[in-house]
Amino acid sequence: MSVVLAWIVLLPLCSSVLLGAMYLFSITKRRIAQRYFTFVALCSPSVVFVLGLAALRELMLRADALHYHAYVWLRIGEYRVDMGFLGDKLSLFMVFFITLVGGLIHLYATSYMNKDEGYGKFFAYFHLFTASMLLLVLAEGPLMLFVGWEGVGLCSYLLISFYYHDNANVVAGNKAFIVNRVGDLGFLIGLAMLFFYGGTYEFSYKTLALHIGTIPPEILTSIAIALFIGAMGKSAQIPLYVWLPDAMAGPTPVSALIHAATMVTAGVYMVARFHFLYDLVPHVGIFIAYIGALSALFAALIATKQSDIKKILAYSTMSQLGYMFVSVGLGAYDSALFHVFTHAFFKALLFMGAGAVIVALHHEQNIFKMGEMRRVMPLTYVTMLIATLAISGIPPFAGFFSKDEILSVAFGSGHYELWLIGVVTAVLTSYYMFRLFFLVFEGTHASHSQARDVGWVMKAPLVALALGATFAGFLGLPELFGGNHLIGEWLRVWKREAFHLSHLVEGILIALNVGAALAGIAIAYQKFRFYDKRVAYQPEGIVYRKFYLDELYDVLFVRSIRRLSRFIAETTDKKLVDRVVMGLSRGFIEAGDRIAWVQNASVRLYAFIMIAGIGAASCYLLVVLR
Amino acid sequence: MIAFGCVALGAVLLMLLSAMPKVRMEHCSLFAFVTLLIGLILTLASFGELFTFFPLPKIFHKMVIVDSYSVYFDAIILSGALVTSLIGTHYFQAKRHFKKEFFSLFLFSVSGMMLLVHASELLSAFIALEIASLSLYVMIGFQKVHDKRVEASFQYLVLGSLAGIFFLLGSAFVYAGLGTTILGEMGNRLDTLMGKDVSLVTIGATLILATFLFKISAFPFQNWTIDVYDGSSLPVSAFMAATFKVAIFGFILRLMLVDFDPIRDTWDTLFIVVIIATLLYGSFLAIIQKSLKRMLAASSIVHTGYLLIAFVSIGYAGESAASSIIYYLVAYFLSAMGAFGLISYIAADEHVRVTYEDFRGFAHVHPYMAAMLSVFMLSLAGIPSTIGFVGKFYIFTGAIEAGYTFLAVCGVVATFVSVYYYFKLIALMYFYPACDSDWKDVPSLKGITPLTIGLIAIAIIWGGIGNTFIAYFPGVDFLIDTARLSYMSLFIK
Amino acid sequence: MGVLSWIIFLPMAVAFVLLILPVGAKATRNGAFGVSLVIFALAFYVHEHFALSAQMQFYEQYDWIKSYGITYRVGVDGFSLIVLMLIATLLPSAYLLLWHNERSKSYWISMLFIQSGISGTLFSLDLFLFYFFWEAMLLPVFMIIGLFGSGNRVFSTLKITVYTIMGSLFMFVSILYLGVAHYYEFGAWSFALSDLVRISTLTPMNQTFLFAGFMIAFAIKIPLFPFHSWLLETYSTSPTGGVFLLSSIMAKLGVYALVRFTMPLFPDLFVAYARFFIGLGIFGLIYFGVAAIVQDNIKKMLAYSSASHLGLISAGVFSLNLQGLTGSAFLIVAHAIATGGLFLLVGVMQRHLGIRPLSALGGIAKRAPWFSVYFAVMLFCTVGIPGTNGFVAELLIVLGIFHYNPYLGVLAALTVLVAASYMFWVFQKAILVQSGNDVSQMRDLSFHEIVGLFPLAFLIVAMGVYPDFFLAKITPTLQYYLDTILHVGGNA
Repeated sequence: MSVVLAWIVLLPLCSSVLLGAMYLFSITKRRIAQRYFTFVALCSPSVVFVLGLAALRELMLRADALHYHAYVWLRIGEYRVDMGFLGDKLSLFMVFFITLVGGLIHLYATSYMNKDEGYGKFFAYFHLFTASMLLLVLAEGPLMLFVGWEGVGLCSYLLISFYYHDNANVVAGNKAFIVNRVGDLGFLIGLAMLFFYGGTYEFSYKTLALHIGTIPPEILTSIAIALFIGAMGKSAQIPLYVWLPDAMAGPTPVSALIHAATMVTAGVYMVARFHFLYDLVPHVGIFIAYIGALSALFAALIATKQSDIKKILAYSTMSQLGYMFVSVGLGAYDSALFHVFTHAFFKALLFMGAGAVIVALHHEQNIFKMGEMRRVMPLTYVTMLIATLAISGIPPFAGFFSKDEILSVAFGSGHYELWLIGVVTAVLTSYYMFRLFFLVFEGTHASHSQARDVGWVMKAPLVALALGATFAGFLGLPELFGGNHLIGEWLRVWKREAFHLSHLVEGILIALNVGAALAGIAIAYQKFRFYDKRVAYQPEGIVYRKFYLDELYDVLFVRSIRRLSRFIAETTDKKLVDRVVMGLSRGFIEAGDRIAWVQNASVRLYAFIMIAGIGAASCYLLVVLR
Repeated sequence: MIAFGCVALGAVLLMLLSAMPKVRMEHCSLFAFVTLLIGLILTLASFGELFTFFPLPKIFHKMVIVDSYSVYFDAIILSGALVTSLIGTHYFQAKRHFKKEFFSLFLFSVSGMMLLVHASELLSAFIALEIASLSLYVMIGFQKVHDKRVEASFQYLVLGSLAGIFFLLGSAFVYAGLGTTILGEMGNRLDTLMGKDVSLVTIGATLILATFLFKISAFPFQNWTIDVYDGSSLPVSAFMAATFKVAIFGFILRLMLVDFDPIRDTWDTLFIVVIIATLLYGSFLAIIQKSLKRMLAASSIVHTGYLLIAFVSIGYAGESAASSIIYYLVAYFLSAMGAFGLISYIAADEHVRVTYEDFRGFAHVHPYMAAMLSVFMLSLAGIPSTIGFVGKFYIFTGAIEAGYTFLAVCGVVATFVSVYYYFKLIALMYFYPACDSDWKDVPSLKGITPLTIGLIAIAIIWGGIGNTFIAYFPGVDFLIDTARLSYMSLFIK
Repeated sequence: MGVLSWIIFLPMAVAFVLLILPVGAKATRNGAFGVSLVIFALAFYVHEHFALSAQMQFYEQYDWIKSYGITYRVGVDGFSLIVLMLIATLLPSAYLLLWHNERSKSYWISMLFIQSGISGTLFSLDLFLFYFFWEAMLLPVFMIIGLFGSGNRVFSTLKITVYTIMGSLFMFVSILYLGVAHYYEFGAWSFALSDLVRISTLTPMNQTFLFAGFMIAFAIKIPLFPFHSWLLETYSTSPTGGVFLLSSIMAKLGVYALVRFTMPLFPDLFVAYARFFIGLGIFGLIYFGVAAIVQDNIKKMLAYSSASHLGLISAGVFSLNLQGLTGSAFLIVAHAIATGGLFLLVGVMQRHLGIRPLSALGGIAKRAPWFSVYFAVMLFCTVGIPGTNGFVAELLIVLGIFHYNPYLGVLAALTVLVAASYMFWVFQKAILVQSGNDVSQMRDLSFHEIVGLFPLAFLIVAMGVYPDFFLAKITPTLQYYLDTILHVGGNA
């Protein structure tokens, strides 16, 4: 039965290969009608979703986790790395929402990418991504996780630079890949240390968890940090976040699936997966929590000034991820995963709504050139409203429960400054989200003319996700509201320590959070509800310029490395290394020319040299024989 | 010894014949060829056996000796002369200015060389040396039209005689020191004198050595080489470069191994200096030459350096070093003979200057000649699968065996310098488009000469890879074994 | 004549026959291709009948030069087996890719000779024999570059020849010294590896010198850091076939010989200098990698990139543990396939577009999808994306070096950044982005080019997905090296 795990990964992989082959065939040999692509593109995810459910059911029926061991991937001496799959509560939980949200986004994409010449290629990449993501969550050992980890990075590169004829997109893709690689460097080092110090005959979470105790604490700390650097890259946390806003160059479904719902949460998943490690090094956890909090605040700040709809959403993603890291840092992995779960719904919804708007406006992305879209696309309007409320943390929408849980954890942990940052960020969040919302759907005197609504294929997923964004929260309904905290129970293992707050305190906190959110909404309302679109928006100021960090990075890394490279290639190599070699040979030839003057065919000189030679020999003999 | 007699007789006869008007060039060269051939056959009759004796002791007492060693060298010299006459035929016929006497002189010098390797007494050796040299002087300057020739021959004459003086002086010293000039006995006397003052002998031996260093063009006696080789007509330079060197080594080895063995170590430092200087100087000169002929001349100095490496290591690794010298002589003889021969064949017409540049794109016009020339260059550079490589292998091994690793390294350095100036020719021949205008007057591949050269090329390859896969065919091992054999024959008392 | 001798001498023999027969270039090419297929079959036979052990197998021995105990003796163990399989697989593909490139008879003749030389170098267990092939291999390469190269080819040809011969001559002296030492110790001449390893009379001083002699030769061939200055000219001037051979086979043979001869001959020094050479390798990895970033000539860029990877390979060799060694063996294959493939693809591109700087390319993906797909696969392998064998290899090497010394391991891990930093940039500039340049002459891969590259792409993925299958036959040998030769134990 547990072979189903393998199929969950294998199926999208096969379909991706199939789609790729079909695509190559259709562009080189004979065109294949789009519907065939659509068929494959939709079949595979739905089947995978079913398989995922099946696995989930299986897991519920039995006590222990599902295991499937496919084959020995690598055998070095007595070390062994298996290509094995682990289906425990955490991974199947991830599989569940990945396949669910992913499937919906696939459906959405079939219409979004409609009539695109790269249609087949797009879905080939998309399925490849799905496969890697599922491998990432289902892997039974860190190495396989790393395979998936890099795989999703690759796919994100491919999809960001999907419209590769435009330089900017490819540059963005490269940026994303390289920055992720910086993270992966840390991750790889972490793996190496883990392998070196904790590695036993086999290299899987199970054995690692058993032997983790044998590793000296300072090593543990460095391992934990190294692994977290990888998470920074994937989940766009300070300082490795720079790629995420640019990554919006890709088609909107990509942003929805990869850069909002699934891939960027891989970091959170990874930390949760290594909970046995992070439980032992709480101080690293605090560090992680602070990074998360700062990222949340920082991103929210920047988002308040941006004008590109997708960029705003990107920064909001980063900020939400910050929340999650606060939670994992404090050891409340379940709360983080809960937020991952809800976030997947409303963020995907936001992106898809934005995508719908963008399509409706013929690929206009500047929110100040939008407005009054409510009349054009009422349904999108409603769904977007739900999503916006959800992300701002207004009850009873999904975001409220998860975010509230995180904040109460932060409070309960005693790190009040973290909690404070969280609340401030909540204000900012609701502010910039509603700023976006009002600017897009409300406002006056919008100048755009022939905007038309999008088709049902695009709307259906919006509705579905809107339902999710509304009710997903109830899966984690806290006791305060008589809920039984389903997800918390389900992921009980992934909780270091429960912070017990009296219901009173909890109530106060909730009130504070909601109040903060409402405050943000209020400011946004009176600033942008009736925004006059005719006044052009001149963005300025350090915040809009993202604190000039991109420029700083550019100078620090890109330029300096290119300069170094030029120095090596042109100075060191040519002027030093090669010159020495060539200099030797030239010097030899020149010396030859020098001494050639002896060779001037004058017999007297020759004779003289001979006599001199004899003389020298005689002198030598005089020395020797005496 | 019979071979020697035959050649000498042939020389005399030819001299008389060439006075007759109705005898033409062709006849003379044919006659010379036949004579040499007979001589070679006679030599090979007793080739590869271990023996030694003094012929006609009544008349010559112990002035000349016949042993497998000298026979071995006879064989090399004769075949060298034979090849020279073969590759020369075309050249000589192309050049009208060669008189018939040339061939008798040629035979005379051959006989002189043979006598040299048979000589077992200093004065007879000197006579032999002079016979060989004098006829060579004339052969070099034979072509009156060209003052380059005359100059070369004059230079060689003057310097050669100067060197000759040292030999006589040296033998006088030795006689003063030992009271004899007969090779075997000198050794024995020296052994008895051990522990006493032998400085007279040492000085004398050093002077004698100087003469030979001059003849094999080692530093500091090498300056004449390039000018003389360049000045003389190509077959003659080939003859000098390959054959004469062999003869010289033939005698000097005998002298060193048999007689001056006890005092040899006095020279070690001297030799090391000479070797390094020779290698360096040769490489320096070779790398800057524009004309192939001069380059080959200069590189012959370098090869002398290699030979001297083996020579100095004789003291400590006697057998392998000596046989390595002999083997290398064969290797060098083949390669140089081939190179000079082919170039002389190409440049039969004197108007073609044989510089590197002239060979630009040669391979595309004359692929086979180019291939052969490349083979010779590779062999001279000592690239594997040629005999030159095996030769170098023996020399360096011998040197290391004798503890002169340092010298081996020097030799290696000289080798990879040489790679440059040898490969330059190959590169020029192959890597440039053909400019066919220059090569209108290159004769096509017909007649005996190209055949000989081709055979040499094959021999070179065979010497490089030849082995015991194919039974009963003389390969590398055969040459080495016979070389060892002839070496052994020196010590039969 | 055993199968190994067949593998060595068949191409040579065929080359001679074709050389003599009055056949045209096409026939010669077909002949060469046929031979390469036969060789592949033979190699496969060897692979199938290769027993799972560390011993030398398919051993053959004949006397060659008796007077100096020089023998012709060949054999394969796990390490040479994988290289053999690599070469046997690469060459047919390469021939298919070069199908239209050089329409000259001598080109294919030289190719055949090179194939012989390569196999000879790979199998020989007698140092004299090894040196023989090692040098002889150079001549056809010399010919190919000089005859069919572009630009200032004559100069670069002479440069690489003199440079490499210099290196190998120092090795030559070392070999001779060993032979003599053996003669003095055991009273008999021999140049067989199995005999020379028994020498015990060398002083540490001598050992160091001999070791240096070998190392210089290999460092030039690989090339390691200060000995690389022939690289750029040669790679940029030599024709596709030549640069393919140099980068993906000759260089690897350098590493191979390093393991095959230097390790058993000087185990103590090998261990003692490991740190130094790992450092050198990693330095090269970074140095060349950084240098590659600004190259505008794609061949030069690839030259630097392969030098950079070879730095990593040699670092892995010296990491003295199974991970590192296995990783190096694996990266030898992975990198040979990837770089070879890239060079061949670049050759195809140059055939259509002529030799161009990167800045004059762009928008090729639109015109040539197959080309771009293959290019991407090779590129991903070079960068070390999971699912390609490049990833497995680099992972293993990093782990191995980490075992040797964590700090060096951290440096070695930089490899995940280095390659990515230039490779993707090139992909962007040359293949993807549409710049104004006219690439209308660009054609997509022809059928047999697609077929030719398929095995390579397949191997890249297969070895990345199921590495254990490919490692099974070499690990015993490498384990043997570590335990029995270096005495450093399996996994430190």
